Amino acid sequence: MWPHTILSIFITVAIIALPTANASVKEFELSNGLKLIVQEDHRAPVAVVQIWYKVGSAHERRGITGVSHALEHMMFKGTEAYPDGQFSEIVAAKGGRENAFTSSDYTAYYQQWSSENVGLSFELEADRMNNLVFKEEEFLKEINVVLEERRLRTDDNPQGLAREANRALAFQESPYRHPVIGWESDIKGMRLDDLEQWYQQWYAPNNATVVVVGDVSSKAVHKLAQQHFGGLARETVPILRSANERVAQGTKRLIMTSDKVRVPLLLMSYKVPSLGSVSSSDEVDRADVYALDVLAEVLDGDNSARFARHLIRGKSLATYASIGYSPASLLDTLFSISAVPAEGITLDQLEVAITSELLEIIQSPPTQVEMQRVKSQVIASRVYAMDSMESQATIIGQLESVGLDWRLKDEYIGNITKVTANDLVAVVKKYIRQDALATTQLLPESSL
Amino acid sequence: MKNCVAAILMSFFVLPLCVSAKVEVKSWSTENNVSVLYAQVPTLEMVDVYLAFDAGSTRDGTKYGLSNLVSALILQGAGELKVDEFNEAIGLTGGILSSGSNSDMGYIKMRSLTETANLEAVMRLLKLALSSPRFDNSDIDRLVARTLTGIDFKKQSPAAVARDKLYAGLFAAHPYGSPHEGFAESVKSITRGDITNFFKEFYVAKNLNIAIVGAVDLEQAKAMAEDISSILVSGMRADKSVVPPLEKARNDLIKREFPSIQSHIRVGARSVERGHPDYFPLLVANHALGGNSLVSILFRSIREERGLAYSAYSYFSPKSNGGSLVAALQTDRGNQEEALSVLDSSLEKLRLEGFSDRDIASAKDNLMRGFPLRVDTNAEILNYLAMIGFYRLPIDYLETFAENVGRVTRAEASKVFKRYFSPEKLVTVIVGPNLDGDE
Repeated sequence: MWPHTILSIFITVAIIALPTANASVKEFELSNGLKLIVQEDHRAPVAVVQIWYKVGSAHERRGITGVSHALEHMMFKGTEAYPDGQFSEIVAAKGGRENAFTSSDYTAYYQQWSSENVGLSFELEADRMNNLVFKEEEFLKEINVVLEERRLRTDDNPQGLAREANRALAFQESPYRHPVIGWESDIKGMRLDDLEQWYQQWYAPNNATVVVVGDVSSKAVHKLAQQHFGGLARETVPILRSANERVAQGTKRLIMTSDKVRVPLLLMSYKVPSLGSVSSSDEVDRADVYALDVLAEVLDGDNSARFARHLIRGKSLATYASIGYSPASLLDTLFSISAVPAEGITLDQLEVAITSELLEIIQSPPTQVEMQRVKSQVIASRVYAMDSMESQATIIGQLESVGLDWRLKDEYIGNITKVTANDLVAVVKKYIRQDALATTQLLPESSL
Repeated sequence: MKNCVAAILMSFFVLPLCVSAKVEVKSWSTENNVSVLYAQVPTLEMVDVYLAFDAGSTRDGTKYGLSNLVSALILQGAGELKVDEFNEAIGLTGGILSSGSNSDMGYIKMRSLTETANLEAVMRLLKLALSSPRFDNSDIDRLVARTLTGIDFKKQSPAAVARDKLYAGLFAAHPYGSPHEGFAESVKSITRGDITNFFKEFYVAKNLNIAIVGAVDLEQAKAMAEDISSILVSGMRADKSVVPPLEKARNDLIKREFPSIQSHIRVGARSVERGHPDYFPLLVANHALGGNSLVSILFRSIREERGLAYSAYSYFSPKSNGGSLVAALQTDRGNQEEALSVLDSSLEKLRLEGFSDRDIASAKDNLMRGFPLRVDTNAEILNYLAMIGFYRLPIDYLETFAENVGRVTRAEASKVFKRYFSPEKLVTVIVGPNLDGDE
C-alpha cells in the first residue's frame, strides 16, 4: 500500500508553478544588419559575450568540407592590430575564458569575463570579423592541428567513426551528411585560399548575431555595439538554398568492424523535421517537432523513462540506450538512438527490442503519469538552466542562428505542455518508419 | 531541448575549471556533529545540496571498485520503493538526485525547485535513500554488468589507457594507483554483503560533510541539514591509517602498444594535497605550464609553434593523500619523437631556468582576475563548498583565493616545479602504435 500512497503524493505535487523570474531580454539591430541580443543577469559581476555567424558545415560542399571549422581555428591567428596570439593573451591576462565552436549550422566565438570588458570583446571581435590576416605558415601548422583533432575525435575513436558513417548513411543529399570537422581528404586538400574565400563570403555584420548575458545594462551594451560594430559595412551573403531531406529511401544498414572495438554499439537514426526546417506558418509540422522532443523525453528523459525501465532494467537487453534529437537545427535532422547491448545480447536482438519499444508508444501511449513527469522535468530544467549565463546565451544564439526567434526560448514550456499522448502516437506513426531508418552496427573484428 | 553536443566542435580542448566574486559562506555543525557549509543565493527558485562522505575508492581494500558500486546503488530504490518506483517518484518532483564517487569521496547531490511541495518530496526521497537503500540483487547484478562494460570500453580509448597506466606508475599499490571503478576480477568478486557492510561503515554522520547553496534562508538550511544528518547513524570516522602509505617515487617509462594512429603521451609526478604549503605555488606553476589554456607554455610550444597536437595541457590534481601534476598531449605516431623531445626540453628548460616573469604574471593574472567566473553559478559554488568542507580547508578559502595566488613569487613557483617535477620522480607513459619496446 505504502508505495502507492507515496506515488499519489508525488503526482499531486508535480504541478509546478511556472518560474516567475523571467529574464529581461532586449533585442537591437544595427543599421548594417548586425543583430544584438542582451539579457541582463546581475547575479555576479561577469558577462558572457558570444558572436554567432550563420555558417557551418551545412553550408559546405564536398571538396571543402570542414572549411568553416578550419576557419574558426584560423580566427585565433591574429590581425594587424592584434597579431600573433595577442587576442588570447589579452583575454587571459584579464582573467577571461574564451573559445569557439562550430556545428553544422553555425560558427560561434565567445569570451567570459568581468562585465567591464564587454566593450573590449566587441572591439576584438569587430576587428577579426574584418581584418583577419591569412598567413600560409600559420595555416600549414593549423591544418595539422585540425588533422590531429580529427584523429583524436574520429579516426582513433570507433564510436566517432560509427556516428560519422551513420549520418552519411542516413542523408543522401542533405549537407548534414558531412562531418563538421570535414572528410579527411578534404582537410588534407584544403588551401589557405579556401579559408580566405569562406571568410570573405560569410563573415559580415548582417550574418552575425551578438549575444550578451551578464551584469550589464542593455542600453550601454547597445551603445558599445554601435561604437565597435557600427562602422562595419553590410555585405552580400550567399543564400542557403533549402537542402531539406525527409524522403524515405528505404531501410539502410551498415555493419562496421574494428580491431579497437571491445564494446559493440548500435545506432538507429530516423529522418525528422526540426524547428528550423519546418515553415514557420506550418503549425502541424511545428507541433510535430515539439511532439518528437517530448517523445525523446518519454523514452529517455531520466531513469524512469521507458528505455531505462524496459530495455536497461526490465528486459536487461541494453547496458546503455539514449536518444539524440536537436529541435534547434537548421535543416531536417535525425532522431537518433544509440545503444550498447547487455552481455549475451546481439545487436540484431537489441535492434528488434528498440524498434518494438518505439512502436509500443502506439500500443500503449504514455500514461498521465509519464506525461506529467516529462512536463515537470522540462519546467524545472528551465529554472535550472538559468543558473548558467553561458547556457542562457547559447540557447538565444542557437535559435537565432538557425533562423528562429529567441522568444521561442520562453514559449518553449508552453509548447511542450500542449503536447498530448495522442500527438506522440501520431509522430511515431509518421516518422518512426522502417523505410526512413539508417542503422549502423559497430562490432569487434572477431565477431564476423 | 536535447542536444547532440557531439556534433559541436570546440576550437580548443578545455579542462573543466573548478571556482564569484563575493560568496558569503556560513558554517555550523548539526546536532550530531556534521559540519555544514552554506551560501544563500536568492535569485533563482532552486536549491542544491551536496553530501560528501569519506567513502571513496581509498576505502575499497582489495575489493577494488566497491565504493563506486555502492555510490551508484544508493539511488536504485529505497524503503518500499523499488528502483522503478523510486525513479518515477524523483522524476515527478522535477528534482534531480545523483550520486557518484572518486578516489577520496562518495557523494550524493540533490537539486530541487524551492517550491515547498517539490522540495519536501525530493528531500523525502533523499532521506529514504540514505536511511534504507534496497541494494536489490537485480540492481547489483545490473550495475556490476554495467561497470564491466565500462571497464571494457576504456580499453578502446588510448587516452583512458594512458591515464590508468600513469596513475599505476605514480602510485603503484596505493589506492590512487588503481582505477576507482576497479578491475574486472575484483568487481566480479563483490557480494551484496560487501556492499551493505561498506554502506554501513562509511555512509555515516561522522564521515559526512554537507554543502547547501540556493534560495533557502539560514533557518531553512539548518532544518534541511538537521533533517538529513539525523537520519544517519553516527558511526565512526574513517581511519586515515588504513590507507597504505605511498611507496617511494621512482622514475619510469611505460610503453603500451595500441592500434591507434596517434600516440598519447603523459608525463607526471606526484604532487600535494590541498592545504599543503606548496599548494598555491604548484597551482600557479601548473597554470603557467599547461593550465592556462591558450597561452600556457605547453599550448604555445606544442600546438601554436609547431602544430603537433590538438590538445597539449597539464593538470594539477590534489587529493586527500597527496596528488599529481601531469602534462599530456596526443599526436600522430610520426610526430611522437618530435613532440616528446619538445615536451622534454620545455620541462628541462623550466627546471634549469625556472619560469619567466611573463609566464608567472600571466598565470597569476588569469587565476586572480578570473576568480569571479569560477563562482558565478550555484553549481560551482556548491562544488567549492563541498571541497572546502571535505578537505577541511579554511572557510575563507574563496575569499582569500586571489590573495594566496597573488603571494606566489616566480622563484617559489620555479622552485616547487623543479622539486616535484625532477627527473628521478617522473613517470612517462606512451600509448600508441609501433612502439619499439614492450612493457
